[in-house]
Amino acid sequence: MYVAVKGGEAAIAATHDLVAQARRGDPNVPELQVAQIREQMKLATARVMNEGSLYDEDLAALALKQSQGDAVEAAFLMRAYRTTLPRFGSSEPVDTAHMAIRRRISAAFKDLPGGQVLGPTYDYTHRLFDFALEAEGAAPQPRECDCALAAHMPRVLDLLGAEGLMETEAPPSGDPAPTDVTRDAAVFPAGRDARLQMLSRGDEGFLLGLAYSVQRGFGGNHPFAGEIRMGEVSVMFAPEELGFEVDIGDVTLTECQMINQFTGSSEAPPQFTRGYGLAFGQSERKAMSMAIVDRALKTRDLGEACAYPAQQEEFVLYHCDTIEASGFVEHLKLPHYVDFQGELELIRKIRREQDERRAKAPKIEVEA
Amino acid sequence: MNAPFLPGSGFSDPVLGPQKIFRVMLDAMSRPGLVQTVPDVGVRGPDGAPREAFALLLALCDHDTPVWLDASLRQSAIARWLAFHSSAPTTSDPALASFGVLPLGCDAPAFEDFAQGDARYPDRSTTLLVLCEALVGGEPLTLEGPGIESRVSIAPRGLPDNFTAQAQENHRLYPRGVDFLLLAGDQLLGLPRSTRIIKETR
Amino acid sequence: MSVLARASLAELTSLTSGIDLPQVEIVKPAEIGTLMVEGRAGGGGRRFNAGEATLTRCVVRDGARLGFAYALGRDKAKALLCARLDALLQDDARRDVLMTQVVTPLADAQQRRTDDASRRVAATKVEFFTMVRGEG
Repeated sequence: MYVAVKGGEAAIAATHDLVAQARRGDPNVPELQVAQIREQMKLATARVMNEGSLYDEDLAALALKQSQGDAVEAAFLMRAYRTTLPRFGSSEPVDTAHMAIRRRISAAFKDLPGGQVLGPTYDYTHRLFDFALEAEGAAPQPRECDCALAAHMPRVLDLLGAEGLMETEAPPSGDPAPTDVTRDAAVFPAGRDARLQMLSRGDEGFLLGLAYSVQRGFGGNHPFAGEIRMGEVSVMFAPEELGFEVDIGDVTLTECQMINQFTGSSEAPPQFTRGYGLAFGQSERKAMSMAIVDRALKTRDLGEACAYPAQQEEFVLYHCDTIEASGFVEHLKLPHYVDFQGELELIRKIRREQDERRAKAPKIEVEA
Repeated sequence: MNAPFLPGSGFSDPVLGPQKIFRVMLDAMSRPGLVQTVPDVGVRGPDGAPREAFALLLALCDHDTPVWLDASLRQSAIARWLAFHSSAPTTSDPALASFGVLPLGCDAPAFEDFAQGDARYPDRSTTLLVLCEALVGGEPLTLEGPGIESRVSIAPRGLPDNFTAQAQENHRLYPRGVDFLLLAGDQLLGLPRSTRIIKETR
Repeated sequence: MSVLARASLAELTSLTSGIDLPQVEIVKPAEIGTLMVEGRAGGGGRRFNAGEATLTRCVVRDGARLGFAYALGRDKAKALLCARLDALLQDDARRDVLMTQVVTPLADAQQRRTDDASRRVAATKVEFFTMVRGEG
C-alpha cells in the first residue's frame, strides 16, 4: 500500500542546488558542452538512445550531461521527455540492405559480396592507454581509398537462403503492423514483434549477461556472428495528411544477424536458425546480445525444451527494461515508514503471542 | 501536394483549446443527459458537419486512434481534413475504430459491430459521435445510472433508426460496449454505456 | 524534401540569405513529436517497433500551394524554412532559382560527405585468410 508523506520541501530544494554543483565539479575546469558529448561520447549517447528508446543525439547528450554520465538516469530522462510528445506515426520498416555502410563484418563467411570493412572499431586495438589523449591534439587524418564502397550491400543471410539450410525470415501474410508494448502492455506468450521491441529497449548489461549465459552452456546452442553492419539508414514516413512517403533523414543503426546450429525437432528440420539484433547508433555489444537472446527466446516457436533462463520469455522480457528495473529497485530508498511500522507491529505481536502461549503451556515435570 | 485542399484551421490555442473541449466532454460523460455547450476554439472544417464536431474530433483523435467513417465521408473533404489535422487514420472496419462518426441519416453498422472492448480492457471500445438535428423535440427518453441523481429526461431529434433499442442492448453488455456523444450544433450530450435508457410511455 | 530534411539550419539559412522568400501563411506551426521507427526481424521478416525518433513537422500555405516539412530532430526554425521552400519549389516561377541556388548545392554537399565517409571506410576493407583449416 502507498501512503503519502509530506514535508522535506526545503531539503529537496537544497539537494537540487547541491546536485547542480556536484554536476559542475571544479569550476576551474571548463564546462562540458552538449555538442562535445554528442560528438565525442557517441557510444554513450547511443546507449542512452537505445535504453531511452528515443533517437535524438542532442537530447541523449544533454541527458548525459544532466545525469553526470549515469546512463540509466539519462535513459530515464529520455523516456520521461518522450511521454510529453505527440506521436506523428510510424515509419516504413527501415531497409538495412540499403545502409550507407560504415562497418560490415562476418565471422562466418570470409568472402562477402561487397567485402568486409572493419570501420571504426576497438576490436583490433591493444587496450593500452593512449596518454596522448590527456593532452589536446588533432586526431590523425584518416586514410582514404580511391573508390567508395558499393551503395548496396546485400545482407549476407539473404544470400544463403538458396540451399534451404537457413531458417527463412519473411513477413507473415498481410505484413501486419507490429504490436507496440508502449501502447498495449505485453501479453505472454509474446509475439516476435513484442519480444524484439522489448529487447531493443532492454538494458545492455542484462542482455549481455543473458547472452553470455547462452554461450557458456545455459542455452544449448552456439552462435556465429553471421553479419554485423553499422551505418546510416534513411527513414521513410508516409504521413496520413500527405498520403505518400517522404524521406525525413538518416539514423545510424547497428544490425546483427546471429546464426545458430539447430539439430531439428518435431516442428522443424535440422537447419541454421537466426537471431536478430537492431540498435540505435553504434551499439555492437547491444545488437549482438539482443540477437543471441532473440534466438534463445525462439524455443517455443522451434519446439525446443525451455530449460535455461535466457529462454524464459517472461523472465527475460519482464526484467530487461532498464527504467522499470531501476525504478523498482531504487524506489526502496523512498520513505516506507508506514509499511515498516506495520511489519514491526506484526513481528511484535507474533512474539507476544508466542511468549503468551509458552507461558500458558502446562509444564511437564519429568522425573529424573 | 498541389491538390485544391482547404485546410481550414485547428485550435487557435493548441494548449487551452483541446483542454476546454476535453472539459466539456468530461462533463457530458460524467453527467449523462445534461446538455453541455461546446465553446468555439477556432477549429474550422469543411462543410458537412458542425464546427463543434471537428473540435471534438481534433481533441480526441491522433495517429493511434482509427476513426470509422461511412463510405461517403471517407471519400469526402472531411476525411482529408481529419487526416491533415489529427494524423488519425480512417477505417472502414467498425471493429478497429477508436472513434466513429455517425452523420445525420447515415446508414450505420450495428453498434455491436464496433469495438466493444473485452472483460480485461473494456476501454478498448469505440466512442461514437452521433450528429443529431437537435437535442430537444424528439422522442422523450428517460435515463438512469451513474452520474444521474435519480432520473433525467432527454429528447434528441434525428437519431439513427433503431438507436434506442440498440443503445439499450449496448447497456446490457456493460462493462463492454460503446459510448455515445450526441451533438447538435454546439449542444452536446453524453450517453455512456453505463446509462440505462427507458422509453417514456404516455 | 529528402535533401532539405538532411540539411542543417545553418546551411539552409546561408544558402537562402540572398534570395527573397515571400511570406507564407502558417497552417500548422512547427511542432515536435515522435515517429515510431520500425524494423524487420532478420532484416526482411516480421515488422517490429525498434524505438522512436524525434521529428519536427510544419505546414505552410503560399496561395493555393501547401508546403510541408518533416525532418528528424527538433529544429523548429529549420522545419519552418523547409516548409516555406517546399511551397515555393512548387511555384514554376521560382523553382529553377531555388533548385540551382539551394537544393542542388545541398545535394552535392551531402553526396560529397557520403562519398568521403565511404572512401575512409573503404580503407578499412579487410581480406581474411584462413590458415590450416577451411579452404584457405
